[in-house]
Amino acid sequence: MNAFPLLSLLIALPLAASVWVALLPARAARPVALGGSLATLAAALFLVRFFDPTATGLQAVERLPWIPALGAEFHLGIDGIGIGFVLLTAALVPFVLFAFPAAWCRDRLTFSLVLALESMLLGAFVAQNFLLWFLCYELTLIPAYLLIRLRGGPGRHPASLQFLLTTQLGGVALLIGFLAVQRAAGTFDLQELARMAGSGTLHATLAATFGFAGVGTLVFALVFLGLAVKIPLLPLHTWLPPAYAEAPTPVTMLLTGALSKLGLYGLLRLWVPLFPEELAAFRPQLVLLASVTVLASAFTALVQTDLKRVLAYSSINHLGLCTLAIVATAHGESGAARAGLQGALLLAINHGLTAPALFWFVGLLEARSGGVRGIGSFGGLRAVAPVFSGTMGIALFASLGLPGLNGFPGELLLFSALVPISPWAAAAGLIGLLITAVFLLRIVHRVFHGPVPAEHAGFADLAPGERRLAFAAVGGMVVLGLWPRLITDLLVAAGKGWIG
Amino acid sequence: MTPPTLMLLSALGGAIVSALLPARGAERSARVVALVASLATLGCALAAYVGFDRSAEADALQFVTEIAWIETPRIRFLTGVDGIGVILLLLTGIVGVACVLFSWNVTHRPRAFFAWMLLVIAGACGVFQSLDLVLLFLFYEAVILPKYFLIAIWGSKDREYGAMKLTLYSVAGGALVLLGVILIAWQKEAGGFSIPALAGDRLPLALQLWVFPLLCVGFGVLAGLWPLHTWAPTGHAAAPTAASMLLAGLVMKLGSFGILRVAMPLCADALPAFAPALAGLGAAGIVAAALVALSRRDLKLVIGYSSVAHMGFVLLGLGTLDRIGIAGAVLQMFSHGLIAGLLFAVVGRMLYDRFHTRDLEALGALGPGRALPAVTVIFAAAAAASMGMPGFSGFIAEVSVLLGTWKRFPWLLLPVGFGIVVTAAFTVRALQVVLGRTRPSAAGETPDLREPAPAPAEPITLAEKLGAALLLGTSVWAGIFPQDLLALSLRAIESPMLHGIVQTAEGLAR
Amino acid sequence: MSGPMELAALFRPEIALALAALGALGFGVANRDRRLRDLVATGIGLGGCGAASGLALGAGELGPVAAFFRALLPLLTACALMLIRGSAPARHRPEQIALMLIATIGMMVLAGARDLLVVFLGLETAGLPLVALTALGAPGKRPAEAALKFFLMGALASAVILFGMSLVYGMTGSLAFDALAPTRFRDPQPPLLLAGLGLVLVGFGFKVAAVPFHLWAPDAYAGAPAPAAAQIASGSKVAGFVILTRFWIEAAHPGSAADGAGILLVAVATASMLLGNLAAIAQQSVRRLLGYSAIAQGGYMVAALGAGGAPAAGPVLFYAVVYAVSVLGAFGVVARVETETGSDRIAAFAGLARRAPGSALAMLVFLTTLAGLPPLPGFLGKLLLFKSMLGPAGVASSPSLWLVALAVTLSAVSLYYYLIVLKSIFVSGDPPQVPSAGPPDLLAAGVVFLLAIVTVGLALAPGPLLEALLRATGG
Repeated sequence: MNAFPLLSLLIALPLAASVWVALLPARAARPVALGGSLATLAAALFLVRFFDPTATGLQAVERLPWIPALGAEFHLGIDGIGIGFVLLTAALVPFVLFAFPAAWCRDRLTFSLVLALESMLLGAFVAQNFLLWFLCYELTLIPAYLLIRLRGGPGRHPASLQFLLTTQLGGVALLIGFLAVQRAAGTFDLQELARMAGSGTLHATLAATFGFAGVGTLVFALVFLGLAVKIPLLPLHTWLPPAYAEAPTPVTMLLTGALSKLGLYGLLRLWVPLFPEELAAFRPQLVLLASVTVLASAFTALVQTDLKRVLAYSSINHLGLCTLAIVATAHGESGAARAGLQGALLLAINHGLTAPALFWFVGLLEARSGGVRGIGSFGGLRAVAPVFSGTMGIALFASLGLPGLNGFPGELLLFSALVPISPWAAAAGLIGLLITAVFLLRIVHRVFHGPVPAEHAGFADLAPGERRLAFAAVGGMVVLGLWPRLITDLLVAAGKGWIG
Repeated sequence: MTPPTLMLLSALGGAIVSALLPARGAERSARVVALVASLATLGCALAAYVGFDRSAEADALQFVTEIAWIETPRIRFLTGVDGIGVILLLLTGIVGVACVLFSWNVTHRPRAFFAWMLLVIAGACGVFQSLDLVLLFLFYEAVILPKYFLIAIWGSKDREYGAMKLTLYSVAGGALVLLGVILIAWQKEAGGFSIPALAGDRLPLALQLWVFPLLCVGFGVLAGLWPLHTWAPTGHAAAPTAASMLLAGLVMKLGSFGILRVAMPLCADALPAFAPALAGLGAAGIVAAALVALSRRDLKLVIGYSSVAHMGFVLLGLGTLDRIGIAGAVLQMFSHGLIAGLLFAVVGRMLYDRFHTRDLEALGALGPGRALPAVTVIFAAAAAASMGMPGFSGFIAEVSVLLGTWKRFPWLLLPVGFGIVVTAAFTVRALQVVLGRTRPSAAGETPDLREPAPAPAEPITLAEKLGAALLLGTSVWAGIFPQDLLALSLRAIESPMLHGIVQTAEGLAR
Repeated sequence: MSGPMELAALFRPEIALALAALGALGFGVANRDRRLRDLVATGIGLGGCGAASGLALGAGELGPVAAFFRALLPLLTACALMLIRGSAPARHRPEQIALMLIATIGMMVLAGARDLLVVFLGLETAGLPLVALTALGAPGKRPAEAALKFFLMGALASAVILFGMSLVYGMTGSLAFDALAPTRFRDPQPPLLLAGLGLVLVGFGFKVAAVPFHLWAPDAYAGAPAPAAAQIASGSKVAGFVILTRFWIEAAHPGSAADGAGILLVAVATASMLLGNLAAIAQQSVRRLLGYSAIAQGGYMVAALGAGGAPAAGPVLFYAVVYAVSVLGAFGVVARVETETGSDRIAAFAGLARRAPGSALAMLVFLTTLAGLPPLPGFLGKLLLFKSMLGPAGVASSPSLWLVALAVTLSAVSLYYYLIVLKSIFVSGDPPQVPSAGPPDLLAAGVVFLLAIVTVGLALAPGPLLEALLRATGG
């Protein structure tokens, strides 16, 4: 389908909107931004409409020469792995824009940055050439940094700095690893490299070019390091909680909803297909690492008092779980591998709905209480603001994985794949799940039940506009919980090229 | 009359006209003359760039001019460009115009200022197109006096010291190069000093082993070769904005170009012995300069050290003796010329001229970004470019250099990677300053972009915006469409004059 | 060639100068009106120089080098003469002019000499008037001391030369240059002959202000009146190098680099380069700075001769011409500043770029040439000098490499002290005390301008001069 450059359009729309917003007068900022993001969503839906889930290989391919001297092409394409994330991003951004506080509605810079971020995210999810991917990946950093920096909380300076530098460090490791690959294989093309890895020639070429056999492992480690910073995995996760906590709420929604998926996607696109032998060889260590992440983040969430930090660690926990499933099952037996991958994808995509929603709710708490978001600062909101409590409660339960809500199908699939392959990993995951339940329920208990503190007696319930958003979010959680096929149907062929 | 020669003449002509202008209305007339001259040079550079024949059968060296000058020894006005020369002439044209735009507000002795500035530009033009060794050296050294005067007369704090230090280092470097040139002249009396000829018919290896270090170190001083770089940060910090832009943007490139054009092809057989040292020193420069930049409080000094770090990439790329690595070095020369120019322009013209301080703490308290949103945008973009962010020219350059490094010196990638991260760190540190307070605000304060703005500062002028747009735009263009520049460089590296560099390395590897 | 008539024909240029000198002197005695007297004397002096130059150009009997320099030297003197108004005191101007012309005669004789006795004649004729001129300097500059040093040093040098000459005569039976050469390379070489040669060479060193006979130079440059100092710096030096070169090439006829006489010259040169450059750094007086730099510049040229042998002759002479022109111009600017501010200290030059941009630019040209910085001709000259120091191609010898390295380094160092002066001219903000307003010295300004043009011209088109000198010296 080389005829209509749909993917380029997908990237260009938000970028054009970003530029346009910056140039127009302030009054027009919000309408134009919303229009741009909705148009992007329309394009994404159009893509989904014409996407063939059963076909292996890339669709909507666009391929143009870019830097032949370096083996870099402008190569875009979509397959089962990327389609879910594209849809997620395209749907999340309008939601986030609607969730902007009123004070921001004339801020051209913020709108512009968000749209630019969306554009680069979409680019990263469809790029099929490493250099192009890396370009989009890195270009998400500056808007994110600026968004945290310009409107964040009191700790925003060190938080944004740490975010930028740590991610940059990861990026450098990633880059250096892939430069070695390019040197050996002569190309940055991810499909080509996956083919070479599948037939075993990539490893051999690396060893031949550099003269020692351990090069493959070294590159494997470098790329993993770069991605591990982004996902994040322990112990490289320290940038995340401050960033999520200090960023303004809409920005955190974006970070957790879409940007966090970039690491996972990178794992699936850049790492798993290219290093099957090393993955199999180091599987135990990787599973251990992911398990530690899952457990430690859960325990840490338990002791946090700042609601946003609780949710931040919960995010790490969820992503760690996805990573666990991937490293445990990839390149293993085909049935389990398929289930593990799809489970991870499903969980990640649904997390992209629940986590932003949760942060939004916490943001509302924070706004109404004048900047307070400690877990113990609230109480009895069920009585004072029932709609709010109800919707936030549903979101919390969805995050927990309650059957009937959107968190459950992904976890089910994931654990069903994990248990036969690596029971210990499954056990760790379950323990993590249990702890998650504990702290999420604790939030429910502390915030919604019990006596109402005096200062929050006048806590306003959701306004009509907020109500719409809340119902939309919760509705989505319910729908996706009851009909997960809406997403899984798209993922049918995910990873077919290199599974099994 | 070829475009490169015309370019040289425009710059020279502009300098002379500027010097001879009447005193009345000098401020306006001098800058207009300078702008016209610099636009003319840019036009010629563009003509050369566009007109360069890129087809496979074309000669490597084009726009060749040959005028006899002295018969014994045979020194001719022999000029021409290959792909690399065209790229660097383009850089010269762009940086020249940007410098004039950013000096639009000079009121102290403007005629002399623009005259010296145009002389530096003329000298750079001359170096990049010279194909005669003595002619190249002549242009190379001719830049020294104008540099001195630009800093000593119009510079800021410690200008006389900075100027003298810079000049003496330059002269010392030049003396080393002169020794090398004399040795070559002594050995090769008859054939003249044509560089292509000398590259083809090389000196005996024993002599090359002496000449190469002399030339490389001599040129390297100007290129910021670590540890001979200490003149650069002091000198750049003391210089006025336009001079810093020229120095970091253009003059440092003369040194690295000298290594590439003179030292390496003429001593290609000695390269395998010295290349590891060159690459190693380049890498050391990246790391050491980045670490120092992280610790400095004077913003201009930070940028000065960052220049040394970026030039370290160039030297590393040259040291890899790899086609891609060297092409990356050329691209980095181009890219850094633009970025350094932009950074110094922001710090010098936009910030220092308005707020009269370069201290990070003081600027942070002032939060210039809030009063001048254009500064925020420009500096953020410049910082991104300086960090090697993709989408800007520096990224592809660094990738290419790193590709070359993987081939030859994989173990250097560890310190270099570290250096890249440290570079990001100090760049963001500087960015933080421009964006606002560096210390976290008091708890409970709701920070808002609409915080009360600091003392009113003169808004960013049109000239500054144009200059910034020119530099940034070119960097983005080169970052998104680097293929043409890379192809030009690669073609030039494969030409008979330069391919000896790569061949000897590959031959030995086998 | 015999007979007094032929001799007189040969010496037409010198005779013209002598007549002019007598004329200037006579007019000076005869007339009362000081201004008229000075004017006419200057006119006679210039006319004499012009005539001498023209006559010398036509006289090719002594060879192309001699013809060229016999034509050049009076021109240099003429330029120096034009600085006469800058000469304080104003008294004795006709006498100064006359002395300068007589000194020129001696220099021209040196330019054509091929016999040691003639050389001696030339040396004395050139030297004594310059001593007398030095004594005529302004009281504040301690001219008497300078003149005394000059005289004593010259006398010592003359004595050394005479002694050397006598040894040479004793060993060869002749004082002519071409008689010396065959004797020189008889095997074994007669040690007394070597001693004599050495003494003569060292004595010549006095004329070019080489160590160890350099002590007079800074004082003389500082003490003498402006035109005299200019002449000492330019014409005298050129003549000294012409004779040194000719003697070295034609008579001493150097053999291999290990040749003792060559080593002696190189030693002298090294000492001169070191002492001249290092001492110049500390100088506050521009004249003394130029004096020390003269020692250093002489050092480069002597080193080239000593290490390079016959092929170095052309480059040395080329450099001598370039040097002479630029140092003369520099003295012109110094004279102007002295007239305006009464001092030649570096600080007195401050702000010159503002009040006299033309002179400032000219000084830039001259000092840059002296420093050897491109694109001015000093660079080309130094390049050729240094190259010839290495000796014939393909014969690598590490002492000559070290020599060249030293010379290049010191040349780089020299830029520092020239730059200090330029810094004062261009960079320094406040000019010194209000310069005394006087009628502008058009003559001096004119000659400075002319010399600057010539220097720049040599930068753009050094070919003709260089080719001519190389051809003439058989290079």
